[in-house]
Amino acid sequence: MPRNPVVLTLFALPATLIFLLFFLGPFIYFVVMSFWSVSLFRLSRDFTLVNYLDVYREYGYSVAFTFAIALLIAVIATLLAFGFAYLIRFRAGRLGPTLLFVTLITMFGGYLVKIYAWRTILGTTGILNTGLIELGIIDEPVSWLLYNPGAVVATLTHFLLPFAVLPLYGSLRGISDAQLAAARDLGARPLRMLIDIVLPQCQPGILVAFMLTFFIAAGDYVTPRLVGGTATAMAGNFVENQFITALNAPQSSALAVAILAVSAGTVLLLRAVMRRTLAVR
Amino acid sequence: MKRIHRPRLDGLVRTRSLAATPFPRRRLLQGAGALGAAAMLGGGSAQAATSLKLMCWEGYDVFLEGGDFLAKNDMSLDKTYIGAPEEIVAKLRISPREVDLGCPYFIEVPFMAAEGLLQPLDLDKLPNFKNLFPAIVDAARSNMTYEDKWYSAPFTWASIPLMYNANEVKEPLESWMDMLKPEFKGKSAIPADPTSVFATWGRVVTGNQSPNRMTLAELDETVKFLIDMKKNHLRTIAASYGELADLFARKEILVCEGAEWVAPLAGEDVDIKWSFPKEGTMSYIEGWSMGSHTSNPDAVYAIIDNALSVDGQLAGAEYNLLPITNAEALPKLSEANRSLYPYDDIASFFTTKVRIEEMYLLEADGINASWDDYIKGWETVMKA
Repeated sequence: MPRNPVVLTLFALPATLIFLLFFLGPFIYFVVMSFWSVSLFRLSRDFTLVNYLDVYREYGYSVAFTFAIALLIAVIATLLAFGFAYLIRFRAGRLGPTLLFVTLITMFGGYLVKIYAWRTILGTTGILNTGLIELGIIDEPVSWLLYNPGAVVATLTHFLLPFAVLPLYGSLRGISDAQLAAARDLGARPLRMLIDIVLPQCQPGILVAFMLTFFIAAGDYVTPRLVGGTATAMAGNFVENQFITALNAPQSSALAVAILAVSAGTVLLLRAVMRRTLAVR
Repeated sequence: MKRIHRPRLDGLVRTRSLAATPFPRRRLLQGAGALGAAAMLGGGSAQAATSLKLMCWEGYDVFLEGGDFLAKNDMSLDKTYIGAPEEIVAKLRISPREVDLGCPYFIEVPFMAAEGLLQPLDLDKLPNFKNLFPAIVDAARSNMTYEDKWYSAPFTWASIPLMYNANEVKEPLESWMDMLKPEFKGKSAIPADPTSVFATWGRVVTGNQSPNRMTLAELDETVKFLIDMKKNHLRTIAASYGELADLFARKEILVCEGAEWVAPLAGEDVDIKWSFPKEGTMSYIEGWSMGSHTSNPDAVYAIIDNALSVDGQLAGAEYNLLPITNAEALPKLSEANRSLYPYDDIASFFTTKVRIEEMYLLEADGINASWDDYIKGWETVMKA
């Protein structure tokens, strides 16, 4: 690894430029735009807080609903992913790399493919209904499996699981087998080892897994449209509606900034809680 | 333009975003094959002599390119596919030189012409214009002309009929209210297309025959009706018109507010029929318009005329499952396409079966609903 500051700067330059040009720059632009207004499809570069007032007045419930759904998805995905990553790291033995490979493979399936797969599973003529009928458990298809918030949670959890598994597995790999062996030799039970050794050292992985799943779920608008039915409009749907249908970029920017702020606040809170409760002992 | 159309990509909008163009797997494979072949051959061809900047719904470009027009004329298109026609308005406002031609929603054309965003069309430079069905020209006139000049050239159209699965629904449906019958509870859907939803149900609920010009009270009444329908009757609000076809195919719904081309997309296992209910339904006409600052009007005229030609019409209509506007293309049109649209009696179709809407008010006046009010109304429905 080069230690020359000039070389280090050169190494960091491409990524920094990409970050500045394609993330920070547009983000700042949207923040600025969120204080503008639109009239007759024309941007007015005045300063107004009305877009943020509307976020509170018109979209408060949607933001809260989105937050709740995203939180549920992130918690479920992170827990499931932790279990799976733990299995790969500590229990699967030589099968571990294969399971990890399978996890990666599922990421090639694509977003829409998974949504449509869940529609095939949960639909009126779907696999689940057909199977239940074949087993004699139900007489006719049940319709409540699809087009509700539960279908959104199932679909997004499935889609986001690999995103959570990978950082968690990375963190678990950093845990020394010697530490675990020593704890075991000293009589620590598995739960104690998990709490005192594994979780504290997994903090970054848990946080990243939660962030990835939470942010993606909070910003999604396609899944609720395709499997959410009539009562699952998330904040992203209104961002899209304002951007595309109303061509009101300032309003949609304000809504997007509000979602981002709520999401960032949630993650910071989680981080503080984890630091307090999962401190390395 | 009802955003209806386009079957391929979903998007909301009052227009066709929803639609998403039909995109058969065969076509996907053809595209992939062509892409692969191009890559193997080293890609890139020599730059065309003329390049035009186009903004339109995905799939509409096929009308322009039909008959191998681009290659024959050493021309290329720099395409931007839209998610809503208002993107064309915005682009023409911000960067007028970046749009040589596009397909604005036809009810917005007079507004765009008045704002100086479009150029009037010289019909002498569009020889195929004279071959258009007179009924379509008549139907398009109120929206595509401004101060007696044409600003858009109609190349296709469609409407929003009441569609049903005839395998299950034995009696023809004649009223939009039939969709609310108890037997269709949890078996019906509407598209996430506020334009067509308000045009359809605003007329039903309020009796206002100009549903794009409802009063605030009428809009409020319609919104309440839609909320009740959403909560207590609909299976879902389809993300697109293409999605409606999928819902039919998967037996999730029996009836919906749809578009003619939804029927073939649903597949052969379901017999989709449709009616034009007695309360009336909307139709829309798509046209090509020239940007106010195009640098090459002659090329724009040439390619628009090609979209109106027999070759352009056949290519675009068959690809998109949409109807033609040029009467001379009719003899060569496939039976599949002919079966979808009333070519035999197109004149009475536009005067008795469907209605052409007008532009929304863009600015509030305290009594009548503006476009912003419609958008808010739609969001109220979504949030409920």
